[in-house]
Amino acid sequence: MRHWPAAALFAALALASCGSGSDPRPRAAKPVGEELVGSVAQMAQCSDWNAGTRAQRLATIHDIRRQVNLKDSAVRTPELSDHAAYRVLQSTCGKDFAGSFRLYKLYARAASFAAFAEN
Amino acid sequence: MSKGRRLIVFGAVLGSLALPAAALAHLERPSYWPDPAPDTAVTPPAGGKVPALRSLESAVTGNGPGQVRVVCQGSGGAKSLSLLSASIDKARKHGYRLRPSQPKLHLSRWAAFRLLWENVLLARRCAYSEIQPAVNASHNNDRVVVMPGVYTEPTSRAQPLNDPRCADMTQEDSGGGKTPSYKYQVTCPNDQNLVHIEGRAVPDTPPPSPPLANRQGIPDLGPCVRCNLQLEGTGVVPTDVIIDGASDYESNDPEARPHTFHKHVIVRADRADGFVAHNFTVRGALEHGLYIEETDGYRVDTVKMFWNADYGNLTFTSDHGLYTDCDGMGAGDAVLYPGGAPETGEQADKSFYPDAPRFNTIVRDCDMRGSVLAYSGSMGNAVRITHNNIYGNTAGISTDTISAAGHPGFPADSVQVDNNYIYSNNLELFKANAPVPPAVGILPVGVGIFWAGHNNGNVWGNWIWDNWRNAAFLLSIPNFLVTPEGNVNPGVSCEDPGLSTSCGNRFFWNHLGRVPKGFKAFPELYAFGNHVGGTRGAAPNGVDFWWDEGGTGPVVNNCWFGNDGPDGTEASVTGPGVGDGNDTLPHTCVGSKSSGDPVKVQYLLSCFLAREGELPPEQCDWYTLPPKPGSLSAARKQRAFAKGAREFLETARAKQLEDRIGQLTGIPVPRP
Repeated sequence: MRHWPAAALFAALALASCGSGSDPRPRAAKPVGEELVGSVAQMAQCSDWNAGTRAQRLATIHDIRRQVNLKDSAVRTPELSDHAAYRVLQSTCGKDFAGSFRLYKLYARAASFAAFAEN
Repeated sequence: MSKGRRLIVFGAVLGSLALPAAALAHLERPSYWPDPAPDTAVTPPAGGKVPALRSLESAVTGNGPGQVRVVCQGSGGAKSLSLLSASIDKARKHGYRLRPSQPKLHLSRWAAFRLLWENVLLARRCAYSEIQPAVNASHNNDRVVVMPGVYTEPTSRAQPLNDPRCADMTQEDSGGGKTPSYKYQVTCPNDQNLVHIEGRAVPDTPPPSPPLANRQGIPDLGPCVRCNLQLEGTGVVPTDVIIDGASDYESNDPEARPHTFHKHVIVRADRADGFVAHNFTVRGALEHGLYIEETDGYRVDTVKMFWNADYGNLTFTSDHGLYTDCDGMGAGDAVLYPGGAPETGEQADKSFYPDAPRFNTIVRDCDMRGSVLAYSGSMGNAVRITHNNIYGNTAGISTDTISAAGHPGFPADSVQVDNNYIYSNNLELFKANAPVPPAVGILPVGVGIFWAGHNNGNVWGNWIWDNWRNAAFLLSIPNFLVTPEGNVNPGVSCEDPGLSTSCGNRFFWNHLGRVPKGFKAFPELYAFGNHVGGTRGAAPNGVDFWWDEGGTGPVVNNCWFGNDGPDGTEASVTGPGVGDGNDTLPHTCVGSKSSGDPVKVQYLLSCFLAREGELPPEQCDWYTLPPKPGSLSAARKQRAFAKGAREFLETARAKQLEDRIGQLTGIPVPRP
């Protein structure tokens, strides 16, 4: 019994470190892209992504996730982990024609495939 | 796991990847479908039908209903009148076109005189040099008449983005994301918009939080304050009046590309029931040219949309809409996007839509060109797309059933595409320094119609030629990968509870791979280096009807019949695409069931997963234009693809994927 709290804590830390979609921790880095009403989700594009640091990119993913992954009673869009989202965006934004791609569109596409994203 | 069952899941995978990217719309406040009944608190009533266009002559007489406010340039409208005179002279000498694909029109001496005289009379009443103040002064049934000129709206442009005055007027969804509320848009109208039309007052009651699952009826609807508003230009052609959000244009041509953008939306009509837009151009938005939201009754008539980074027109959760004689190019996503169109099709709630089934939106007689997509519409239910010219895009029409948050209406159904010309959509924009920067990717170049997860659709009577990959795609989207927004309808066209999309679609009486007699090529067809294979006689598509066949068994009642191919016979129609050799398109609608095809499903998976391997099915070729149909290289590529695909199915990678699918579906994959 005494092992349960420690196990739970370990699990929580593990989830946080791999970027669970609902991570509520404040982030120091600012997300990349033009901000609209407190969010970059609408406007951030691959050229912004490519110019950002890793921390900024992760902050961008968190911002987009908040916009895309609603949790209303009738809304349950699949989330993409930080790791999977980072990989998708990094891969796509690396193409020389992708500079103007909106990141949220790429994220949402991948998120709907979240069940396969870690394979 | 049976082959067929496995293919269903494969189809799900490909669909889940394809659709959001293909036509994913935008992020917006939680939106609701307006009450489709007319609002009788206004006389004449607002909404309930497509509003009629009021003539310019009636603006001059002032007989109403409503008041007319005139916007012009120069002292007493002198500059506008000078611009009009030049436009009239040009039209008289050379004729004029409303759309590039159409023949020139002639402006008679009498019509020219009348137009000039009407403008002279209107100029006497001109009291505004910018459009927004005229809109602000307007009330229900009023008109804002804009005389020729380029309107940059300097006062609007000077308004700050993210205005601190409205910082506390955002609407927070349950995910923690913030979006500008209706109150935000009304209070800071030019924060994002060059021209903002507030159709209804902001009510005392805030919007419900979290949003309601039932999206029928706007819960925080105020009374009409600018319903039945008509915004119109007074020139010969729409480009005589340009509402402009950009600068640094490459030339003075109305279609010249801008390099600096100043506002996100050019004209936003919000809850503006009965809104009419007529005879002007919206140009140069950071996002959308003409944005119509939560509106019952609207008409976009003879409007051009140039160089808007996302959508030329974005209409969302709006009813009783008509687009006619419009023209758009330079969109980074789609020229037209009527997204979240109401459920007035086969799944209509008759208590809310008593006159259903009916089309809620009609797109007719428009040119959609020179963009990533001509038309898009996530959850776009019951839209009719008819008598349009769709050419020179990366892909033509895309309607899908997966979308980001804020798109109610799953699954999309009852769209009709009829009597259009859909041709030469071979524009390569997925390359460095593309002439039109694409805002959306993961789309196959060279496709006429890209349908994913649609039910009860009709595609008939169209001429579809010279699309080098496919005339039409049809994909299936099983439910376990879809988590739509708002209430979910069961997908009445399908029979399997686990698969509620891509059933009951009919493709018939279309003409494939052949240019209609009398067709004449025109310069805009070749814009941005678009590839044109033929402009007369046979001009084949890569494959006419590509179908994933991924819904074996449960995907029912899809059919293709009565179509004719390049030689005028049904035998020359191609489809459903290179596969395992057992590839057929059902001719009979009732009772047809798909049989599945692992070869092409795997090909799609490789595109959507962006995890490319060694064999052809693992190498996504969607970003480059296929070889010209009928060429030796096209045949060679097809052979190599089929061979490689069969080899792939024997690899460990294919089996690994099957295992994952088995885990997700709970259906174990049998192993030898």
